Amino acid sequence: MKIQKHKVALIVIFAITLLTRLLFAFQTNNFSDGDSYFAIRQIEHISLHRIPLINDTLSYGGRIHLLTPLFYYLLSFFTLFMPSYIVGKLIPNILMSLLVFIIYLITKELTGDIKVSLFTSLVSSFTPILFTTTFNSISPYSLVIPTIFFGLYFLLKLPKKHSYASYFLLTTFLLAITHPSSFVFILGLIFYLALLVAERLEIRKSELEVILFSTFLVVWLQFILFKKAFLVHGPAVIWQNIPEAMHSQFFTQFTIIDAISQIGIVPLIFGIYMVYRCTFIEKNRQLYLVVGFVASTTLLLWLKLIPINVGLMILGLALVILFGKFMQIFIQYVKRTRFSNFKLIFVACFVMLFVATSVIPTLYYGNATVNNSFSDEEIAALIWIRKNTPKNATVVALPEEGHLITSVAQRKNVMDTDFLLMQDAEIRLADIIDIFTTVSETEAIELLNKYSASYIYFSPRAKSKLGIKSLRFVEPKCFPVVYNRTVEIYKSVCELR
Amino acid sequence: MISNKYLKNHKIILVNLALAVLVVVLPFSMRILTRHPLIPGEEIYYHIRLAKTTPLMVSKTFSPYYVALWALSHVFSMDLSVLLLSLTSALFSVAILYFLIRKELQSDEIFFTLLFFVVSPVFLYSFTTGSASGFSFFLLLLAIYLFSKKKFVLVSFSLIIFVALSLTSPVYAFASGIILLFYVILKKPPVLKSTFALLSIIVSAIMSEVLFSRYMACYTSYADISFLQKYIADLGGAYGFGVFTLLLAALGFLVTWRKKRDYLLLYLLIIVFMFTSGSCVQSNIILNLLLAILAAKGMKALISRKWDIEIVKVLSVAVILCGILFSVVSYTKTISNIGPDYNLIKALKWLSTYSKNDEVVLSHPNYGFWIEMFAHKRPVVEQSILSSSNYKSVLEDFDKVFYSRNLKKTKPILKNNNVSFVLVTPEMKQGVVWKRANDGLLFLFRNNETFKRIYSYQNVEIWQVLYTGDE
Repeated sequence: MKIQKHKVALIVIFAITLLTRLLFAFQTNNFSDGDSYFAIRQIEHISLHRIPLINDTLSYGGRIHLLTPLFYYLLSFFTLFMPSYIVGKLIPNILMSLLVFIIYLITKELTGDIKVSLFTSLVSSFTPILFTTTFNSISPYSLVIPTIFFGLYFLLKLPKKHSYASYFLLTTFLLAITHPSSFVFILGLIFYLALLVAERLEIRKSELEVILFSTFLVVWLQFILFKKAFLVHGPAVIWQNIPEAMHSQFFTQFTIIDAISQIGIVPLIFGIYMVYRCTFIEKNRQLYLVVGFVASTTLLLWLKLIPINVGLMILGLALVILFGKFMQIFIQYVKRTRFSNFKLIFVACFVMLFVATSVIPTLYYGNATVNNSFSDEEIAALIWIRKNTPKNATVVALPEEGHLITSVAQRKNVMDTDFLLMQDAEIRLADIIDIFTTVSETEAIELLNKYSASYIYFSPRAKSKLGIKSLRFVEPKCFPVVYNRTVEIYKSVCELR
Repeated sequence: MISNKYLKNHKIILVNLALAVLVVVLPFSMRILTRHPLIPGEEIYYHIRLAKTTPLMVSKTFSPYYVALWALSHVFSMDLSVLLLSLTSALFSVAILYFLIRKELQSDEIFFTLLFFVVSPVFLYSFTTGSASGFSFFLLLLAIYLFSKKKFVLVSFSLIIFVALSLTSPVYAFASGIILLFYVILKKPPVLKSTFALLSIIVSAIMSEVLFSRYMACYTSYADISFLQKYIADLGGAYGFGVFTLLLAALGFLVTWRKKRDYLLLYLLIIVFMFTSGSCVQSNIILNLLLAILAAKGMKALISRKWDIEIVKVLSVAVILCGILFSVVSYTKTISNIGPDYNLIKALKWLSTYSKNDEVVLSHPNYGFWIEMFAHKRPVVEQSILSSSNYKSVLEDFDKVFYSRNLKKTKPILKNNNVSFVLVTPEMKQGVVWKRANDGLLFLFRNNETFKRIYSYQNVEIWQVLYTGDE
């Protein structure tokens, strides 16, 4: 059996992508964000009880989690064959590496050029934001992003064969039960329809039907799954009830510098050029689908209605696809000129540009993410808590470390980064900052008593974030230090009467 | 067409009447099962109290609803009377609506209009917690129906109902006037009917002028909610619409726009009642009916459209119907859990025996009607004052009391308003008023020379305000 060359090339690109990701991921024993540890709890809970962890007795001292469960179920399936830590390192990276195939398929559909499609798939795998956000964290986005682009591919194929409608609908359903960002997908499709109307192109019946149904389905499922959050927070649920002080971490103003550094200057510039070309020079209904996603995510980012990393990931990939189309047009153009003999030189220039502006930044940011991951010392301190403190103890830590307290130390936290339904999130954050920064022992005791907290987890992360070197209120009588290495752990033994 | 095959007219009305029974009775049944008092909500207790005290007097609190409730309560218990009145108003509304639209719409459109009207959070809310509003809506439909008849007696009778409606709420005074006005302008009826209509408009206008200065002019919920929350039930709006009804109505609008002249009356009424709902949320029940007609048009367009992919059509219709049903089911659950609860009633009844009537109780405005009903005391702030012109200054005063930790500022305000008791509920401590255990008044409660806790059970507390030694 003869295997076609381009298939081998594609598998090689997939292998390079996956290996690079794993190489970085396994440089550290730990994950880069607290949410990964929340995911581990969910995965382990599903493995044990077959249902997600909804009633959590540890988070916020006891609360309900609202979540879309598919991603956690998928990962917990793999825990049948390997430990959850390996699953968390391996499976999200495999899922994200699958993007190579999806981008290849989409670009091939748009350009019909195998070489360009292969190059575009390579470019997609080294988009800095995609790499750094997902290679060392267990994030539902590693399933969401490929699913969104699978959906886009099926919609592109729909006019040719109606059987793709079933695949598209299945993709939409899976997306809706994976993450609330399925709304971004729907918005992209609506923008696509709007572009067709604006350009006076006929909307195909089949497309309209599946998009209409997908909209109904996603709206309905999100209302079912997040009903409580809608009732508690109203439309502000978009911002996930993130406290004002932490808002800028997630919903930052989108700047051109972010776009250049996180997407890469090559796909950004040529992708934007293609948007311009589509809008003002030539009508191309297939490209409008991708342009619809560019427009919708840009608008959402501009209005700060979407976390910046999510927006940039979708925007980045959409621009990479448009860059693929640009490459095809450019090569065809060169072929028609006197420079046709220098085609390879032009391509080499693109490759060099891509390496300089995408590959190197990706590796640089990847390294920074590894360095910023939770350290072995931090994990050791958390394990100490698990082994040496009462099971019902509450530990005060930064919100970013909250999931580690519940997952690794297996103790109650005062706060973590799942803010949905937590109406006192603002107050808790203010109290935690007060506990770390106050000079008054009485105030610290009062606040610790308020949350029945008996331990303070004081990490280098807290020191750097809050700009403090020590807890100034600490007196050995009320706050004996029980663990004193890179991380300090204080026990609170006094009460206010 | 599904209409010709399956939807015989009598089936349309029977199915929708059965649904109406289910929608109205289910929340009451669930309240019994979840051990809540039968009657939910705040506003209804205001009406019950008035129906008990001054039902037949043509006073500033007269309303046809009180007469009906008062009459029924002579045969049944008050709770059962409310339930029966809600149910009969709902059923008659559906039946009259059917007779009103059967000549204007096709069978399948009639079916979907009735379905979307009945299976909606607004219908559920209006005929359970806001049953006075539901009753008024029934009267409005009845008046329109009678007015549409040719017999002089019936038309005259409709005029009486239109005038009686003006006594219930400015919404219905306005609705009566505007519907008749549009009718006269657009339909150009015979001279006698036009005269009747104009006469009715003038009387309604006079009545509404009188009404706007009335005590319970327009019920306004004390909740700081956004525009979207106000109009979308799934986001928490009490008189809100289901998301899918709105989506279908939008589709219906697109479909009917091609024949916009035929739908001018519908569009105008929607625009008018959208504006009125901004100041009086009860008009949403009228808006709900108008949107149900548009949604039915949208649904018909979806079904009768030739679909390229047949399975998508079936799935779309299924998802829409499930979505509409889901809105109502989850809303039913919400209504089955809303206050008052037995712990609060127990505390208020205890307070009624503890001291003499008409003393003043401070609490959150949401509890005002319950304080009057169960404790026979006067609340400082109740919902109904929120429609009065000086409500902002009243609320500002009591914000000072709730949030200040300075007794020297708080005590004079309490004294000026003759506050004898402060009612504190768990909800007030959990974010409705305070967010921290030592916020404002909660901190001041430590001062045992001014505040004395006289009742505490299941986190419901009553504090007595002591003024001894102030002189």
